[in-house]
This record gives sequence, structure tokens and C-alpha cells, in this order.
Amino acid sequence: MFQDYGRALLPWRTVAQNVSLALEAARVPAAERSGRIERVLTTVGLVPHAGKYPAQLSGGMQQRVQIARCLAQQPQLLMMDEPFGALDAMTRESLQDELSRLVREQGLTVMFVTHDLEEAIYLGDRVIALRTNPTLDKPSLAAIIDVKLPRPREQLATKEDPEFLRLRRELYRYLGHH
Amino acid sequence: MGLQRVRGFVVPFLLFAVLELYTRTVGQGSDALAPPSAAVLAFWRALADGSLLAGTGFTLGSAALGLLLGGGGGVLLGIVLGLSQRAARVAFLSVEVLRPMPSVALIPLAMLVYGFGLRMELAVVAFATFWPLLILAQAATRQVEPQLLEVALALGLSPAARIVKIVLPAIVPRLFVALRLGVTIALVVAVTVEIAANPHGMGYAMSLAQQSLDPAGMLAWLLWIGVIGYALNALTLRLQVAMARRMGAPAGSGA
Repeated sequence: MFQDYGRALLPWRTVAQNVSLALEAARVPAAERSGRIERVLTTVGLVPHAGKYPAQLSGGMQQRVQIARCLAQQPQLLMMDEPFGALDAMTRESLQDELSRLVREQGLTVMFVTHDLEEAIYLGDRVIALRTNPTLDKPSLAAIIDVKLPRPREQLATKEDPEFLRLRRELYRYLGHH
Repeated sequence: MGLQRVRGFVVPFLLFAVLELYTRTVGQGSDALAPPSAAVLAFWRALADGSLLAGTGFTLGSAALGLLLGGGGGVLLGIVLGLSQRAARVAFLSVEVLRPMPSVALIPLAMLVYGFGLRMELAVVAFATFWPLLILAQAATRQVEPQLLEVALALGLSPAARIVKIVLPAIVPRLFVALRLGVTIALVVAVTVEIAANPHGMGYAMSLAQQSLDPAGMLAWLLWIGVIGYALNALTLRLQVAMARRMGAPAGSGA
């Protein structure tokens, strides 16, 4: 899934048709498509906007279309490269919770790349910290940290958890600025 | 809007009135100019004896078919050259040598190969429309959002589906600009071929009228060719706007 939501959707296709692209690529018979499109759009809450074009949607909604398109492929692993980086803080938090719910309900594995420490801890079961400017004696892999915070997590309570704060402090050291 | 439309007709109407007055007084009996009223009569005569329909049909038919062959081929090759840097490098020299050749300079060669008739006109129109449409299609393809092609790869679209579902829709707006240019070139070249060599169509009818000292007939054909050109441009413009609207563009952003 792409970081730049605005340019990863086909502007000449509606929301439903953009999701359909994934099914067409997977050679799903035309008769099955509309049912599966309806299902993934329900999952991301976009059914009322199925007939709109990407230019008519907000950034958060466009990113949800991308998530829906990925889910339509019925993946076991979802790779997301800074998907929420360009969104405003409120939209980002609601999409984080939505993604957590999807992982819980669909049994997905997500590999999530982010520069945001709190996002990494809040979403992750395991955080892999990578080092900037890796060298031979300092390889790019800096640390692997398991996050044992209880689920479902909650924007306020989880981020006030002492364990959350401890992990945040521990990970902060790997950011490169001491 | 209604008044504005009428206003647009004032200048041409005045010009025709001046021409009518001049050719009926000072320029009476001129071999070059005829009164517009005589041109209208000549137009009706050509319409009645079927030569108008036959000539117009031949010119439009060969312009359309030539554009289909030459322009269609140009667009296909342009997409290939736009997608593949290697193919573009291989083709670069040949394209740059052949492209600037004036298409009407090919008339003698086309006449040697095909003789008079439809095929030689098709050959020249096809050559003339091939190059600009190739260049425009290639430029349009190279400007397709790279991220959309990455999406196609990530979703596992086949190469054919990538062209049909991503590249073609993405370049459609630019292709319509190319089409409008191609239609104009095809008509200009078709009429030129008929004036210069091919004894068929509107261009031939016009030059025949000129050679038989019939300025009224010549003027009638000239005005008719102008009307045809205007109608074709208006038609492709409407097609472009309708297509843009179908593809989700907001109304009014056609051109």
C-alpha cells in the first residue's frame, strides 16, 4: 500500500471501480466482484461513497479506498509504507484504530513502516528499529522489541500506560539524535 | 447568449455584402471573383447533380481512413516508445529523420506506387498523421503517473491489462488533443493531394472550377470546405468534452 494516497488511485474510476481493479487483476469472475466490493467497502465504511471519484474524497477517505483495494485481494500480509504520514492527526488516529480492528477481525498480518514512535508502539506487536546510516560494525537492524500492551488498545489509556512510556523512551534512543 | 450569437454573424455578413456589391459593379465579369449569390447558386447546382455529395464523401472518407491507419499506427507505436526507453532509443534516429519530411512531398512517390485514386491519397494522409500522433502519444505515455504503474505491478496486472486499464485511460485526455490535431492535418492534406494530383474529391472539384474559369463554383467549394473544417473541429471538441465528463472530470475542464 502506498504512502501517497492521492496518486495511487485511478482518477477516472469511482471508489467501487478502483476496488474492482484488484479483483480484475486477480481474475475474479465479474459475477462475484460486486459482492466482494460491497463487503470490503462495508469493512472500511465507504459504502455511501462507492459511486464517487477519488477527487471528491478527503485524504483519509482516499487512504481507506486504498486499504479496501488491498483487502479485496484477501491478503494474509499487508505491507504499508508510511500510509498515514500525510494525514492530519485526527484522521490518522481514527485510521489507526480502524486498522487495529481490521487486524483483529480479519486475522491479517501487517508490516507497517513509520517514522512515528508512538504510532509504532500503539499499532505494533513487535517493533523493529532500523538505524540511519548503517555501517559494518553498526548494521541497519538496531533492535527488535516486543510490545506486550493489552488489546484492544485505546488512544488515551494506552498512551498513558507506564509500559507504553517505557517503550517510547527505549525506542527514542534509536532515532539517532542523542 | 442569443444576442452574442447574432453579433458573431455581423462581420461575415457585411463582408459578403461588400463582395456582392463589388462584383456586381466595379469587378463585373471578373475571372477571379464571383458574387456570393452566384456561389450559392453554384452550390445548389452541385448539390442537385450529386457532385457535392460525391466529392465531400471521397475527401472525408479518405481523410478519415488515412487518419485511422496513420494516426492509429502512430498512437500504438507512440505508446510502445513511451513505455520502453530502449525502444525509444532504437527508434529515435529513424523518427527524427522521417518526421520532418513534408508529407505533400510524398505525392509524386505515392502516385508512382499507387496511381490515381483512393490508395495514393490514403498513403499521403496516413504518412502525414502518423508522426504527430506518434510524438503526442509517446509524450503522453511518458507522463503517465509512475505510481499508477507501480500500483499495476503491486496488484499483479498483466502487461496487456496494464496498457488497457492504466495507460490508455490515463492518456485519453491528451489523445483527444492529438485527435483534434490529426483531424485538421488529415483534411488539409487530403484537400492538398486532390488539388495537386488526385482527380477526386472536394479539392479536385475546386481546382477544376478554377481552371474552367468558374469563380462562382470555386468560391462555393471553398466556402463548403471551410464549413466542413469548422464542423469537424466542433464535433471533435464536443466528443472530447463528453469523454472527459464520462471519465470523472468536472464539467468545463474539457480542453
